[in-house]
Amino acid sequence: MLDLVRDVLDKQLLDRQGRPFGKVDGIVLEVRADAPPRVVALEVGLSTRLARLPAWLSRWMGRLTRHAEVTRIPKEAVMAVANDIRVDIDATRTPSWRLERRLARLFARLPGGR
Amino acid sequence: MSRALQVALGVVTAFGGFLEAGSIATSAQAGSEFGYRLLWVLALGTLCLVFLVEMSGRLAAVSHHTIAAAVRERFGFAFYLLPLVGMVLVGVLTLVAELGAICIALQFATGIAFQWWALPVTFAVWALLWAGNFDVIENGVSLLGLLTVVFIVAALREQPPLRDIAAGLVPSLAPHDGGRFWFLAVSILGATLTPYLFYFYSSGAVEEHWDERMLTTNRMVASVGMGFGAVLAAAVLVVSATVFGPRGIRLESYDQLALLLTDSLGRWGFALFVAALAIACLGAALEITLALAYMVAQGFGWSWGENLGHQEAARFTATYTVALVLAAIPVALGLDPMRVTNVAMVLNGAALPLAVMPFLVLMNDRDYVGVHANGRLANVVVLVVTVLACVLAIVSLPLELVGG
Repeated sequence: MLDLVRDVLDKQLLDRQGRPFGKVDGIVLEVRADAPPRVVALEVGLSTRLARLPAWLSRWMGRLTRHAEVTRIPKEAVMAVANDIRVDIDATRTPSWRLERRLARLFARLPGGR
Repeated sequence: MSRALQVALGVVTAFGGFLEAGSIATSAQAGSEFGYRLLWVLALGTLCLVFLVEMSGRLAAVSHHTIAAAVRERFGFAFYLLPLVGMVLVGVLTLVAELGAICIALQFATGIAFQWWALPVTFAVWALLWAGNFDVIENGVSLLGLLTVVFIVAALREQPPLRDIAAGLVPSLAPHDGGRFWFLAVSILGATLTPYLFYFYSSGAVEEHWDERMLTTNRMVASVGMGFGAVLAAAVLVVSATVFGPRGIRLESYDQLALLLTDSLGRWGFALFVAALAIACLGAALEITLALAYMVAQGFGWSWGENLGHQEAARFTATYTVALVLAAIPVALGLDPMRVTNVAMVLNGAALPLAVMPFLVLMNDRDYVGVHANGRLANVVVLVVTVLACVLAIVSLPLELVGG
């Protein structure tokens, strides 16, 4: 049995190619009327992270980052939970890779960029 | 690689990379104002450092986690922000001190004022990180750093009274000027226990894929390497005590400090001091810059590593670039490097609990280190020295700033 906070939340996420692309910033639960809540998805993204901060801090920082998009990984994509969490998605196609991609393009143009 | 070779290389790396702007400046100030009386603080700081470095290698070898990644995972994002922000602020300030000291060394060598060197030096540090890999940077700089052995040569040539040195290793209180004594004490602790050092070490261990077979090597490198390294800082203190002490000089700037070795090594003394300062601070600047990028990237789960290509770890590369740019600004504006160094070292002491306390909890958590959890001695030494450094910093910094 998994303890969601201890074993899942804030763990390193690796995509299908083993690329690190963030930590589990949030866990999406479905609340059901006559059954215990169940996990639907994992989330990676700034706004999910900010929601975990004290209210005054997240309100203040939220203003700076209103347009940040969140990557949601459906539970079915989770392949293994161990030291890291492996998921069956291509991280480079998610919003959490956007900055990485832009920077990589920039660095490719600099001399010696590899 | 055989174990003996691994240990030897590790010890050389720790030794050659030990001195930096903070330890040179604070040891010299302590020697000039209080003779050998602050040696015990250096010894206490080193003992704590040996434990912390050993712990960070053990965490990496057993759990395959760096300190930053494990702290985020164990304590959650909201808590992680606290040590992250604290250590990034203090780390950038320490980087300002290192860059400033390299620039001062170049000023001594060329006569061109240090602030003009800020941009070329920062660019050179960045270029080394951009073009090099982990081994080249760590081993190359440490080998060059062996030049700092000149401080030991100078200390031996000064023929200091061994009885006084031994007496200095026994804890004692301030003989006079209590506020200044404790300010320098915490500066020494801050300079010895800069958190970037053990955060960097754990990242290196993960980057080099350490496992439990490395535990013995790790223990030897931490104790022998850091122990020998501290002898360098002690040598700076001893030379300063014999050269500046009797003349009643209070070191306020690098201009005064530059004459540290001329008494024992003559004409060569000045050149050797300048070269040793530049090389020691270059090594530290590289390590701090990487450590800052490690802390951020590992905390957010980005791909990281000096051995990866820039495009494989783009946010990591961008982080060290930004850190260097931020640190270059105060140097280019002409902020006095010695004063920055003093403030940075005390703040390192003040921020030490942020870096150490969560780490200490991890080292006692069997989910992470299993049967390799900390013993009681390690816990007590690290806890006592950390609290001591923090309390002394909080009390003495305002006094020093108001008084100075």
